[in-house]
Amino acid sequence: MNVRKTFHQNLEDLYLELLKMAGATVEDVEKTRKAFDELDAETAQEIIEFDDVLDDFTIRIEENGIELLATQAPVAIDLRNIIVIMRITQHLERVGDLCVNISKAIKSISGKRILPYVKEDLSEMFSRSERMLLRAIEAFKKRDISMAEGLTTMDDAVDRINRKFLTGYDRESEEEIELAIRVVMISRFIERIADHAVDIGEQVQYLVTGKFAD
Amino acid sequence: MDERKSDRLATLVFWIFGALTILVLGFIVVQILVRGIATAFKPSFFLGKPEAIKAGGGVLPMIISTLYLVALTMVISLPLSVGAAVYLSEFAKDGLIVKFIRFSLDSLATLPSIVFGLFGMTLFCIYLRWGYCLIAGALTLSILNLPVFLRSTEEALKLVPITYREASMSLGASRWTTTRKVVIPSAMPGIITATILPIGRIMGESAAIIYTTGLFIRNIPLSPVDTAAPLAGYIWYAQSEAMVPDYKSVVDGGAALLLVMVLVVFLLARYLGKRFQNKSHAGK
Amino acid sequence: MMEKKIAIDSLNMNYGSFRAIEDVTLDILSRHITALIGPSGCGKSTLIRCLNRMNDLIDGVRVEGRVLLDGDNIYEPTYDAITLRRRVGMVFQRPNPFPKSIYENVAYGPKLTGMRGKDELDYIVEESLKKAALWDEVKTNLRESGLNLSGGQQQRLCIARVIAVQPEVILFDEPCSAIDPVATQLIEDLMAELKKNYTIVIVTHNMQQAARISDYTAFMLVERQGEPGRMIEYGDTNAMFTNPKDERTERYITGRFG
Repeated sequence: MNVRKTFHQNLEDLYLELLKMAGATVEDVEKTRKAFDELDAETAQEIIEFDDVLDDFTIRIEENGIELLATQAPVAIDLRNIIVIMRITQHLERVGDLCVNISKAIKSISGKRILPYVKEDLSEMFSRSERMLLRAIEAFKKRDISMAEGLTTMDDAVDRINRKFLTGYDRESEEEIELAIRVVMISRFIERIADHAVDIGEQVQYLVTGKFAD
Repeated sequence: MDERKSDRLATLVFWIFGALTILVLGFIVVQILVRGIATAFKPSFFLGKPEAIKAGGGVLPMIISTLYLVALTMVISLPLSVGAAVYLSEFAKDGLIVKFIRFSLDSLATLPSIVFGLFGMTLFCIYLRWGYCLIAGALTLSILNLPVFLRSTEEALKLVPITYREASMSLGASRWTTTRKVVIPSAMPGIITATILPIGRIMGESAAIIYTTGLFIRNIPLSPVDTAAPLAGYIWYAQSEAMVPDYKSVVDGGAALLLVMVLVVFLLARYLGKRFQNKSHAGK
Repeated sequence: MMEKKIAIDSLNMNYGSFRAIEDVTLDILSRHITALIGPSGCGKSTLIRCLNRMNDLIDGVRVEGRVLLDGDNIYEPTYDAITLRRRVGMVFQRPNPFPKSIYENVAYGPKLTGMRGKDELDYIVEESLKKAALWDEVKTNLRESGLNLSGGQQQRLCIARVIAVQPEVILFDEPCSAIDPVATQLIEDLMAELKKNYTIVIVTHNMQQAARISDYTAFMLVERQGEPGRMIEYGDTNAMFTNPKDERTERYITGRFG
């Protein structure tokens, strides 16, 4: 017999709220990738505005989480669950912020021409990061450690591409340099989205094993 | 009938029952007092010696006999019943022996008092050749009252919370120390009330003493082996056997006197019980 | 530092033909607080009462296995229960001061061991009441009945009464179940203080209390009705409440069964 029905129902609600937020974040990332592909300033603006929605999610989930911690004194799996949900929320919120940063960069370089191989690499990074994020959320839903552990290897590939962008631009032209900096920044932002996916994977490890990943 | 009406009716019925009880009791008490109080408090009556054949005798030796008998009975039965009660409630493990003791006590409690009187006479007065005497009566009454004494003492001991015993034992006290230092002191108010109340019964008991203690004396009994005549027995004697012409007023006066004595003992019991209770609650 | 004070070794305990606890093995470390938790009827109170042989007082109790206090089996027939109880004191579920004065309550134990001197008794009464964090509240009315104190004060009086016997181990059998939350906090604080000098074992139905105050926690459970209580998990309290090893422990402490 479950003697803490209301509490466990609240915990379930918190979990579902996080899944909704995760879905919205993944869509956000996907939209950002499309905006980048077409260097579409209008979509970029939509993404910037959408950040409020993600921020609202974060506030709601954190407030409810804190309330459960304060009033229900959760222990064991319940405690780890709330802690992990609150941490994942923060990672997702950061991912949202990164999408905003990328969108701002897109706006400032829209209409410019990016080297095709650079664009290809960035698109590649984008889709890899997006897959990582999906995988991290899936691992959380399934509480699957091996799935979460695979994220580190996936991240290595993203890091490798990221390191390539410092070369290949004409350092004489000021315009070229500004473009190069933006591109490097976008690359860095995408790389950090992938890092957040790895962090979410580590939270899954803590959730399941009770031990922090090192 | 609705709930409220039936409730009122029930209240009324029980009130009538209650009132009837009080009425009967009141009637008896008033009757006895009205008839006898004048005689009872005449100094020549309660301080005088009884007469065998002429009128105007008193009952002083009988009063002394009664008090003497009560005192002796208490001295004998108190240690006996408290000891037995302590054994039963604190030490005995539930088993055949305890069952047998309880069965014996219950049987004893149902016997009519005349049986005790005849038994006491056979054993003490005839077999042991003590004749009619105070000690024979006191022993008989002790046996008669043992079940009541014991049961009420045991109840008083049982009212002491088990947690007191646990606390004491857990501090490294033995069972005996626990009984002596915690259980008996806590049960004291109960034990006192429990033992004083049967005094009324000892005072009023006649059947058990008429064949053991004696019925008529002229002088105040001094030693426990003296023949005596407790008031209750004397009243019976005066009513049925005496040859004094004023036997009617002797009976009425005796009865009123006995009633007053019992009443005093009752009040004393309540007072002492309360005082002990206060004392034990206020600590040292 | 991590010396064993009590070692419970394959302990079974039977009431007549009913087995209340079975095969409990548990080490209780010196100067730490060990909590026993579990649903009602799991045998945690029975187990704690095995440690000072309070179960001896009940007819028909049979104990198998060993309980070693500093290496000596307290269930050896030659082991004296009275000496044992002076070394292993107990505080009960309901405050149970004697209907005597505060002073007499605390002096009861020392007097049992023959202490008679007034100065000596005064000293030990004061020290014990101080250690039980009650002295300041009662120092002016030591002659008043212990029963006139509030529930929480009564419980601290009972703790002082135990301390006065100078035990090595103090057993607490659900000591806060009958007192209010503020008084509970006081007693929890007191226990944290007491563990510097005493080995403490506490039975509690309040899991949060076990989590707050204990260093080690043991979880007991009757798995199916009619079976004896068994030890399911024993370990470091923090680990137990963040990441229990056994699924049954987890289900119990998270309230997924009562």
